[in-house]
Amino acid sequence: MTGNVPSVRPGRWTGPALAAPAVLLLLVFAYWPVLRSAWLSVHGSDLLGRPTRFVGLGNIAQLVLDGALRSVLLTTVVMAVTSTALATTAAVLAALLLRRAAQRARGVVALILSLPFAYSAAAASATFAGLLAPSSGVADRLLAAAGLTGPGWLTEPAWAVAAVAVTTAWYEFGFAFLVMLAAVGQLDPAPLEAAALDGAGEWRTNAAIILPALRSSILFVVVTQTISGLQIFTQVAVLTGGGPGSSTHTLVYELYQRAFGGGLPQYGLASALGLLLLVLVGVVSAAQLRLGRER
Amino acid sequence: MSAPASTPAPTSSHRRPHRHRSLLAALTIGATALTGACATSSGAPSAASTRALASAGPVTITLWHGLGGAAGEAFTKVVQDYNDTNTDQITVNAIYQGSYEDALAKYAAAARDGSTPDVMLTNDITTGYMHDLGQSVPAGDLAAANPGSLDLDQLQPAARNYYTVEDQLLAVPFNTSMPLLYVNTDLLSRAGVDTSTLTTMSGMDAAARRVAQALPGTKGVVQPSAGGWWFEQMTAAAGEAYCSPDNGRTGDGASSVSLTGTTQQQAFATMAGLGRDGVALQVGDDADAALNAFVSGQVAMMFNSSGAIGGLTKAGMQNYTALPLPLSGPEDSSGPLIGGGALWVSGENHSEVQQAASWNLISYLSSAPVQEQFAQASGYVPVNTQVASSSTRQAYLASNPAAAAAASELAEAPVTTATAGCLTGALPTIRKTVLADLSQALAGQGDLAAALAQAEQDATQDVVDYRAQAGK
Amino acid sequence: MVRASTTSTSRALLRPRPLDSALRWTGLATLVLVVAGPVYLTVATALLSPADVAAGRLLPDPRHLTLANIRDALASIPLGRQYLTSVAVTALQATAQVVLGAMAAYALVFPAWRGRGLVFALLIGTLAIPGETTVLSNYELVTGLGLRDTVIAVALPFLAAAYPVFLLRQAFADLPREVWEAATLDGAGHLRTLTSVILPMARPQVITAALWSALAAWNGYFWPLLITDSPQNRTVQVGLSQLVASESATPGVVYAGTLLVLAPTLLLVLLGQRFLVNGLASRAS
Repeated sequence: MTGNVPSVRPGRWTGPALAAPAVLLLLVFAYWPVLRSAWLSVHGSDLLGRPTRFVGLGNIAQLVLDGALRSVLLTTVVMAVTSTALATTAAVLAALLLRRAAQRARGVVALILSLPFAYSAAAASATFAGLLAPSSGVADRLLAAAGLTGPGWLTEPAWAVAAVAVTTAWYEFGFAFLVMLAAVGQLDPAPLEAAALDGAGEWRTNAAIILPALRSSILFVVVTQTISGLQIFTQVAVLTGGGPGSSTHTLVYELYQRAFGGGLPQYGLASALGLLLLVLVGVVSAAQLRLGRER
Repeated sequence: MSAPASTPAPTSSHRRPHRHRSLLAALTIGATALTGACATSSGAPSAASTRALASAGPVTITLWHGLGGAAGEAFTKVVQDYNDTNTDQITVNAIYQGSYEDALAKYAAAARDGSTPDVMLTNDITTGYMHDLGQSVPAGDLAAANPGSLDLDQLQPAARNYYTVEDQLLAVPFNTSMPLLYVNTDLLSRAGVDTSTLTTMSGMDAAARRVAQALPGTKGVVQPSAGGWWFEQMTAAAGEAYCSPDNGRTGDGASSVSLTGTTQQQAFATMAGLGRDGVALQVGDDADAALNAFVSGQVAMMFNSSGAIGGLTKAGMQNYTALPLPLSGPEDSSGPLIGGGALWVSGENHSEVQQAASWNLISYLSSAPVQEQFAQASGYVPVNTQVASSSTRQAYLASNPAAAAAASELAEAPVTTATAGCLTGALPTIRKTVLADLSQALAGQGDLAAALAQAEQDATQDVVDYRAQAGK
Repeated sequence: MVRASTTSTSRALLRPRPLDSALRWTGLATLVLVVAGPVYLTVATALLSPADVAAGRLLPDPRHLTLANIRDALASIPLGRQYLTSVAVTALQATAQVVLGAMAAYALVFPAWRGRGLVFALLIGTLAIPGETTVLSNYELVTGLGLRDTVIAVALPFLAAAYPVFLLRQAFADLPREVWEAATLDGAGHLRTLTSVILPMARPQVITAALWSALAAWNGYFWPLLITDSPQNRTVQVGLSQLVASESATPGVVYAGTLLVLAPTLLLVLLGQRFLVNGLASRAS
């Protein structure tokens, strides 16, 4: 149809109008909170958490000066690094092993290995909580049936931190595996065939050709998992409740405790923790961009 | 010295002068008109409360609590009974909000957006915070405004003492627990210890050492440091105030913590000595481990709350007695602190009718038959003095000597500033601080005096920070 | 290095050697055990009686399967009501994110307007803002609106999200522009163009975006925990954590609850994997 039908050219406001709802919502619920956090972090709190007098960098200084908060940061980093290392290594290994596996088995195994992806953090934590519960948990029952006693999975600080890290690694493995599987599936077959013709063994091919080709996917997985690791909350809340003592307090868990945990609400300090998280995530994201560009 | 909570205004009509009846009527009508105009008052309720309640239609009130387990079930039943007997007027919606900590966090959140429950059941250490929040109507005022309801004199004086500030009762204690010294009678008799010597800390110390010496492999005593309650208990048993001035009950509240009083330090030193000499069993803050050790005969004496009686009964232990907390200060001014929780009525954003209905519920919950029923089902100690005269109660106590010991300890506790306990909103924080600073020293490791001085400094800083946050 | 002759040698090289195979399958079996172990545990323990679990007998014996744990889980927390809450939140959040995201993506690709690049940067910039940094302010806002402890409060801060915008923008940009121009020339309004022309052409990516949004909404824990109190307004994830707290002595009941909460996402992973993987591929690039 041509001729006299008027065309609906986009007016000046079509674009803005269509984008406006999303933009406005994100301004209110994503950007404004960052500003508000900055405001709250330089003020004290009253008994109900409302901001009171200006305290300057007092809250932020406490993040560095308070030993308890420093160990919270350390715990968070340890958990993030450990879980990321475990999950990424396992995912890359699984994808590489499956690459040359027999066709029928590969589908089944891939399906099984992607099951953790169906778990939410809460479901994964519930699973490991039931596994590691002291004496009534499945692990302790199995050990008892064999006449052994296990360590205090959730009652000793080192084991508790490990339990949270392993739960996180298991839960994140699903996602990491799916990414690596997709990446391996999209590899350019030409260099691989050439290498096979040259007589290169599977693992030489893996090391020399595949891993470099997977670099950006591996980087992506490492970065997203590190960021998730820095945000660990649910696993702590469900598995250990921050305990024993406060040995499994992560950054976000500490934020939650300070603001909503039942003691005196400290919104100023909690906001400072939120800003610290933002900075850490920013640093990790920036590192991804830098490393991603160096090719 | 601190006088007991204020008594309600005299209710007997013979006090009213007959010849001024018409003037009084005019004044009352005027007062009713005034209070009717201010529907959402947050100040002290007037004498028209009861009348307002009577003329209002059906009222629904909400109650939040943190009682789980057996106590929670017993509480639910009691509230259900209230609803069943009140079908044409007051209905109570009691909601379990998780632990006491969770419940208080929700309460603070609700205070921000004005959606607090009508009644809040919260634990002892939050008393200072609740008081400073200013959201609640003092129980004393409510009792005065509702003549014929709960007679505050019927509440155990020692329990009222805990919740009283400057002669006014803030909240009504509901589920009360007492600190006890449980002793294994078999082990003590084998070691040749006379239980009548266990009324003092020094007697307890001697007995513990005797047991450890006479029965190798058995420890003398265990005191789980869970929550830091015992530091406060030992201080009250030494007849000294935990915080000053006046345990935080005068002026605008506590401004410092004291851990270095003479008798107080001696009490701490006694426990530390037992730890250092290997006479005391160390379980850290694990109260369950302490209970298990006591049941299995690993330790002859155990400091624990009256709530442990249930655990001991469940474990089937027979050969034990419960004794009151050993004292280290003068008998007339030293004693135990109560534990447990109390009921607070919200005033902000709650009408007089709601407040009156809440008070009606609290009167019911504090009445002798309900306290007796609840205490028996939950293991807490009844807070109403009239319970003691009930024949069913006497029969129960005859077959439950441990419960009898807890009840008589409450009834006989002296009512002084020291035994009122420390009132400050910083108390939960202080407990954690003191526990962290002192747990090693009280187990006998390191320099006790230095640890106490450090703990005192840190705890006082907590109070100072709290005062800043509370805007004092 | 001497080039081996092509046919027979290369075929021999391409045939997997027995040692390779054994190592591979050992490795894979270990991984499968570690990964699938907890999954098996969830299902098996949920369906076995507490006595069996207590004795350590975890192999499925059809005579011993029981639904008692599931019954106990449903009695312990109002899981049914929480399911409805979760479904409502997920539907609301996913729909809003996809609809608003599609609108924004359309605006960013087709009509030319000033500030288009800035708005795109603004939207994508939110990907760098972790949710926990926004929590306190959102809490103040939502509470201030009087919406604390309501179902809508759970979805409200997440009605718009950057990832669907990102995904759909890429999808729309890959479509031939002539289609759009033809549609607008025909006199269709922009919304009509979006719904009847553009979206159907980008259907796989729309489904991917919807699935990712739904998954995120279903799995959310921190915000729902914070903004709701009453058991009936809580989502299944929060309810599950309460089940863990109250039933820690009977793992069977905990696992039964876990199974009930997992059912939808398990189905999703088993049936919708293709779409999810598509979404992953575009994120990784």
